Amino acid sequence: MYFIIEMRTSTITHHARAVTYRKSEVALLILSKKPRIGSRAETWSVTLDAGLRSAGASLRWGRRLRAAASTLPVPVLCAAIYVAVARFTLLDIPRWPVLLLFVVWLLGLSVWSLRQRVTSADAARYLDRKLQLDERITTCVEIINSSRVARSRRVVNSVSYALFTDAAEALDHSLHLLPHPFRLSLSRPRALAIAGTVLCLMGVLLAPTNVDLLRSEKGELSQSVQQQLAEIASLKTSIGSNQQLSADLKKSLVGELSDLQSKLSDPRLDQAVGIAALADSEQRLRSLLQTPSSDFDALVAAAQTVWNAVASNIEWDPSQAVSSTDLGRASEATQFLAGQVSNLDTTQERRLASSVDRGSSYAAARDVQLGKELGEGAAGIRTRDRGKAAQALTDAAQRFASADREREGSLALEGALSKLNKGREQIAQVGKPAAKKAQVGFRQRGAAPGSQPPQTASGTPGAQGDPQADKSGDQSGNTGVGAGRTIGNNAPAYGGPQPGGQTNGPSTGQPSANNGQGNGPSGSSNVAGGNGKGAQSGDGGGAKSGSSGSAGGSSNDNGQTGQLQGQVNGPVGGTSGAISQVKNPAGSGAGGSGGAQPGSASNKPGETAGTEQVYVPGKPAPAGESGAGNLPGEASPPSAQTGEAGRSNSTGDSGEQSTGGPVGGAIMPVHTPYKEVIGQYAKQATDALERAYIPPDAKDYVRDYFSGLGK
Amino acid sequence: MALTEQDALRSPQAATTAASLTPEAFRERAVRIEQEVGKVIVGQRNLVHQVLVALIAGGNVLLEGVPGLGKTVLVRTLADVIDCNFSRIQFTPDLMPADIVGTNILNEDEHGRRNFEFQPGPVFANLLLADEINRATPKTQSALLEAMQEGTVSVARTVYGLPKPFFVLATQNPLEMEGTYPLPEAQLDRFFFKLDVAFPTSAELIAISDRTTSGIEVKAGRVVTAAEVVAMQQLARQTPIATHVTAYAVRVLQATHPGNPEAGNMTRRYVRYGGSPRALQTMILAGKIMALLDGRYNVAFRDIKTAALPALRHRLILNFDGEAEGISPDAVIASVLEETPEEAK
Repeated sequence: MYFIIEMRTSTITHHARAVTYRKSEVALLILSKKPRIGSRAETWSVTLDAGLRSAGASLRWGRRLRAAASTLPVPVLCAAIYVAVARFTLLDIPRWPVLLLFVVWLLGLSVWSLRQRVTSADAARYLDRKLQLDERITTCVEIINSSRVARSRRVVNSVSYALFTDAAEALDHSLHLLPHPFRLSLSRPRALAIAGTVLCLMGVLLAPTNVDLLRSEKGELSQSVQQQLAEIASLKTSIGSNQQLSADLKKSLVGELSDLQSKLSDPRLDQAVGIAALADSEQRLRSLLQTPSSDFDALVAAAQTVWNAVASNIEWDPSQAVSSTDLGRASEATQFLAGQVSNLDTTQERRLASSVDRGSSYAAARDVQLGKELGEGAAGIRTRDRGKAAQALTDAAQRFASADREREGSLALEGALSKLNKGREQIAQVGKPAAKKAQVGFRQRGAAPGSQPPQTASGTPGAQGDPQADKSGDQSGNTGVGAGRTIGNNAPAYGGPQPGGQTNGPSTGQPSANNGQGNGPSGSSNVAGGNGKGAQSGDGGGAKSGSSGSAGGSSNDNGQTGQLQGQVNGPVGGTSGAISQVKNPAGSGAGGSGGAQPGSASNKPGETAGTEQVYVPGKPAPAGESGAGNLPGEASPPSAQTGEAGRSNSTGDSGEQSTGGPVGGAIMPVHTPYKEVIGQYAKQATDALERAYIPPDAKDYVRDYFSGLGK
Repeated sequence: MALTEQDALRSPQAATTAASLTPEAFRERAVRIEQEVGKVIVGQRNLVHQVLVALIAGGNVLLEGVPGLGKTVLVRTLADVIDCNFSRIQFTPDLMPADIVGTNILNEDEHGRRNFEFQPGPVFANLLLADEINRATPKTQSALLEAMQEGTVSVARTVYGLPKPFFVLATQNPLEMEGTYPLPEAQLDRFFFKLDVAFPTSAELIAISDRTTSGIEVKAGRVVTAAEVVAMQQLARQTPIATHVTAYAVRVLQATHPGNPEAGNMTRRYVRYGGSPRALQTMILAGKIMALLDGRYNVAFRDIKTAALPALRHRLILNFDGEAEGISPDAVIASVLEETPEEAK
C-alpha cells in the first residue's frame, strides 16, 4: 500500500538571530483510502520540528563554544605577550589595549557565528548522533527535502511511512535527552592549551617586576635632565647678560655649558653618564675658578665698612649708586669721598678716617695694596693731606672696582657650579626611595675624605638649643663618603651646597650679640646635629671648625660681614671632616658645613660621639684644646676653632684674624682603636671607587687620604 | 550487472503481493522463517540470519566450512520453509556444465519425428546447493555465472529463465585444497555473501546428537511461499537510506582499495585489489534488509558495518605479503571499519 504524501518545506526565521533553517511541514494528501494519516502526519511534523529546533540551537551554541574554546588561547596568548612586553620591558606602552584583543576576538567570533548556518540536515544528524536514533531523523529529513526539490508528489511507500512514525516516536521519547546547548566538553590538548595560556597570562600579570620602578626612574631622570637643561640655559642667559664678566670668561663658561647641554640632550643618556657629564663639566668649570668668592670676604667687609662710613658721614646715597655690590658701592663711595676730602669737617674726618682705617685693616687680609691705599687715604684724611688722601682714595676706588669684577666672576662661576652640583644631586637621587634620597650627599671640596666609615646615616636633625651641639657639627662634609652606594652618592662633590654648610652659614657672625649661634650639621643624616647657643662670647664670632673652612665668622660692627661669610662659606668651604666634638660655647657658629656624620654622637651633653669617629687628618690638636668639650658659655679657645681664617672676636669692634687652629681639625676621643677600623674603611672606600664612576682626581683624593693614614 | 528491481518485478503476482506487504509483516515473516529453520538447524543463528538476508536480497551465498556442519540440511530446510524447489549438485572434477544447466536431447515423437528437446539441469530450481563447488573445473564453475547473475540459462542460443526466487548456496571445504580449483574472482564476485560456518559449540553438539540419534524426526514446515519471498525482496529494496550512510558505505568500499586515499595501513600493506561495486550494492541491500529484520525502517551505520564483513571478505584479493603472513580478509575488513569514520572528514 502506498500513501501519497505531499511535503512542503518552508523557511522560517528562528529566534531573532536571522539564523534560518527549514521547517518541514508535512502535509499529507491522502489519495488513498486512509485519511486518518493526515492528522498523524501533523503530529510527525510537530515532533520533527521541535526536535530540529532544539538540535539547531544546541548545534549553534555547541559550535560557538567550541570555536571560542579553540580560539581562546590566541587572544590570551597575545594578551600575555603584550602584558609581558608592557610589564617587563622599558617600552612605555599602555596596557589597556589588551582589552582590545579580547574585544576583537569576540567580534570575530560573533561574525563567524552569524555566518554559520545550521541546516535541517545538520540538525537531523546532530539528533541522530546525540540521541542514537540510527539515522532515522536524517533519513526522514532527506526524504522531505528530496520531495521539496522535486516539487512533485512523492510516492512514499509503507517503509517510509513506518519510518516517519518510528522516527517521530523515537524522537518524542528521547528528545529530553538532548544535551544542554551550553554543555561543552573539551579535549585534553585543548583544555591544556586554554589552561596554559590563561596561566601564562596570569603569570605575566602577577609576576613581580621592577620594570615599573625602572621606567619611573627613567621618566624621573628625563625630567631631571630637562630641568637641568633649562637651568643651564637660564644660566647661560644670565652669564651672557652679566656685564661684570670678561668676554673670555663668558666665552669659556658659555662654551662649557653648551657642551654640557649637548651631552645632556643625548637621548641615550642614562643616569651614570649624566652624572659623569655634570661632574666633568663641574670639574672643568672649577678649574676656571681661580679665586673663590669667599676669598673676597675681607674685601667685602672692608667695602661695607667704607661705603657705610661714607654714607653715614657725608651726603652719599648708596641707593643712588650705580653698582649694587658692596665692592662696587665701595668703589663709588671711595671715589666720591676722594672728591669730598676737601669738604670734610673735623668730625667727619675723624670718623671717616677711622672707618677707612678699619676698612684698610680688613682689606689688608686679602689685598695688601688696597689696604695700603685705604690706609694712606685714612692717614691723608686724618692729617688733612687732601691731595694724598684723594689720590689714595682714587686708587683704592679702582682697586675696589677691579676686585668687584673679579668677585663677580667668581660668584658667577660658583653659581654655575652650585647649579651643576644641584643638578647632579638631583639626577643622582633619581630612582632612590624617598627614605634613601636623604642619604645622598656630596662632599664638599676640602672635606676630609673618607674620614668616616660608610655607615648608613639615619639620624635626625639635632635638637635645637643644645649647647653641646657643636660637637657633632663639625663632622660635616662626610655624609657622602659612605652613605651612597651608587654613582652620585659616591661621586665627590666639589663645593656643592651642603645642607649643613648652608645651615651653618647664617649662623656665623650674627651681629647681635654675645651669643653666637652655632648650628650643628643639620644635613641629611645627622644624629647629632644641633644648634648650640653659646653665651658670653664675642659678637657673632663664627668659628669654622672644619679643616678647610676658609673663614670663620668675623666680627664686625654691623653684622653683615659675618652673615655673608657664612652664606658663602657653606657651599664653598665645605669644611671640616674634622671630628672635633668641640663644644663651642663661644657663640661662634661652630660646626662645619656639609653633611652629617652618620652614627655620630648624640646630642646629650657630655656624651661623646660615636665610637667610629676616628680621624681627623692633619695635625692633631693638643689634647684638651680641641678634643675636650668646653662648657657652655665658655669661650672657645682659639685653637679649637679650626679653620684657616677663623676669626674670633671678643670685642665686636675689630675682628682679629685667628689662624692658630689646627688646619686639620681636632682629634676626637677615640673609642675604637684606629688600626682596627682603618683597614676596613680603606677597603670599603676602594671598593666604592671601583664600583661607581668617580672622577679620577676625586679618586686621588681618597687614595691620598688613605695612603696618608698609612703613614 | 547488479541485482535489479526488474528482476523482482518479473512476476506480476509477486508485485501484487509486495504492494500489500508491510514492514511489520516483512519482519514477522522473516522471524517465522528463522524460527522454523531453527527447529532443524541447531545453533548457527547468525548463519541462518545471513542466509536469510541473502535470500531476501536475491543473492547467492558461498558457505565455507568443514564437512558435516549442516550446510546441506540448512539449504534443504530453507527450501522446505519457503516452499521452494531444491536441487543439489555435487561438484566433482569431471562434472560438465551441461550436467548443471541441462542439455538438448534428441527425442522422437509418436509420429517418428525427431527433434531436440531441452532437458533442464538441476540449476532449474529455486534453491540450488552447489556442494564443494571448488572441486569442479573452472569451465563447469563458470556455468553458474549466468544463472547466478542473470537468473537465466543459455543453452544452444536459447535463454531459459530460472524460477523465482533463485538462490544458489555453494559450499567449499577450506581444508582439502588438493585437487581443487579455486573460484575465479569473477565467480566469487557473484556471491552476495561468503559465510563461514562455525563449528558448533558443545551445547549445540549435544543438541545435534539428540536430534539426529533419537529417532525423532524434526521437520520444518512451510512458512511462506516463494511468491511471498519475492514480495519480501521487493519491499526490502524500498527501505530508505540516508545519503551520508551511503557515503559511508562508499568510503568503506574505497578503503579496501590500496590505491585509494581512504585506504588504511593494513589495506595498503596486504590488499592487492579491493571490493567491486557489487560489494557496495551488497552492503547497501543487505543493510536495508538487516534494518527491516531489526525492526527499523531505514539503514543505519551499524547495518553497513554488519553487512560489510560477509559482503567483502570474498571480494578482497590479498597480495603476496597478506597471503604469506596469513592475513585474513576479515582482519583487513575489521581494520577498514575501524579506521573509516562515519562522518566524512
